[in-house]
Amino acid sequence: MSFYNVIIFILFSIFSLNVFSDEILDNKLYEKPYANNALKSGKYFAREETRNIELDEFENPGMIWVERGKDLFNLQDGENNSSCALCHKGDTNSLLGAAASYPKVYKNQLINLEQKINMCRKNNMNLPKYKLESNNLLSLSSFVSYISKGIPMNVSVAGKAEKYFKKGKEIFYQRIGQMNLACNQCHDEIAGSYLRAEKISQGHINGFPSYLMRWEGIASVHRRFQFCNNQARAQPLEIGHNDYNALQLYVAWRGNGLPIETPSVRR
Amino acid sequence: MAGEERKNWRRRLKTPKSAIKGEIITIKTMAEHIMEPGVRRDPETGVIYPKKIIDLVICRFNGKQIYKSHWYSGVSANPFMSFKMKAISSGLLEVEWVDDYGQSSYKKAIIIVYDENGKEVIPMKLDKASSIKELM
Repeated sequence: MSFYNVIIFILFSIFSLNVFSDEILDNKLYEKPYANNALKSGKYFAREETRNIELDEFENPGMIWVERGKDLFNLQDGENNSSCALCHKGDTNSLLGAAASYPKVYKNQLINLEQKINMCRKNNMNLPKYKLESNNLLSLSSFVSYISKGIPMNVSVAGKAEKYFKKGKEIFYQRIGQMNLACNQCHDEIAGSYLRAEKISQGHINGFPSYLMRWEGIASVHRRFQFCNNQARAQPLEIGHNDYNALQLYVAWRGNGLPIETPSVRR
Repeated sequence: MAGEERKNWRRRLKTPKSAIKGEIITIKTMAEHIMEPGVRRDPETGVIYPKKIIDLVICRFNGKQIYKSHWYSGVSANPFMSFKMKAISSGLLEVEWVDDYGQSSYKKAIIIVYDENGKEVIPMKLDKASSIKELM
């Protein structure tokens, strides 16, 4: 075999391998790690004491944020005396199931619930945006999620959202950080086993924004992603980053069908 | 978050609306508070967050103190507390939280107690049935 033949053979094999792996990815693009009947919400992996706090509506500290969110929803503010309740006609039923469909594509951009609330404030209410991860914004988003409590997650990944979905899946399977860990290594392969004192969950986000005892407050999905990245000794992205939105879309999609449980309580 | 200042601290109080005389009822309370123990530092500047905790909780029933507890650093943020009391008569339940800066806040609830015949047990004694008319 001549030198050129070898080169051509290597090039061909690399090319064919690429085609092959792409085919596998395309076939498995919409393959979920967990079947619908094997989906388990994060509360099954929490301790019994934590779960009891979550299930009692009074003991659940996240309800403080929900109540404050309800007040903010009805608060008339700014020059126009506008409030969320005026547009939504004081009827929270118009928001029933809204939280289950986020993140979604809006004007060629993928946004999550918090960003949507900020857009609403700026465009429709002529009010300044809330700072991301601020108390008021999280109160509103947990109230809006709380309205659709019990409704199954149902994010759409078709159409314009497809490229974000692919990006999110890529991030989910990408190894990062000094620990060289990818999300799927824990949350797909060894979910249910112990990591130090905690059981690893399947990694669903149906309970978010959720009350995390370690931060003594409500945290958004993006802040939890940052914490996850820190655990893998990787450089976290900033809150509200497009990549985090894409990852949130993928993670929400793989838990499609789980009922919303906002505000959940975790350690 | 520790650095962020929260306004409009929420206080929550849950009691049964009515009870039978002699029944033991559970009172649940929750206060929204950072409960900063005074030993944590800001990771960037190294400045210690000043201590700010709720250190006294008092519960009164019809103005009379029935429960009191002193808290020290080590109580978690947004503390939940519950206790039991015996229902003797209808009345006003007040729970007061005092922090170490002397700021206090309270929440109240009304409990109506019935006796076995379904008649309300009023906390005051009326000598005559017509006493209310006389006042008017």
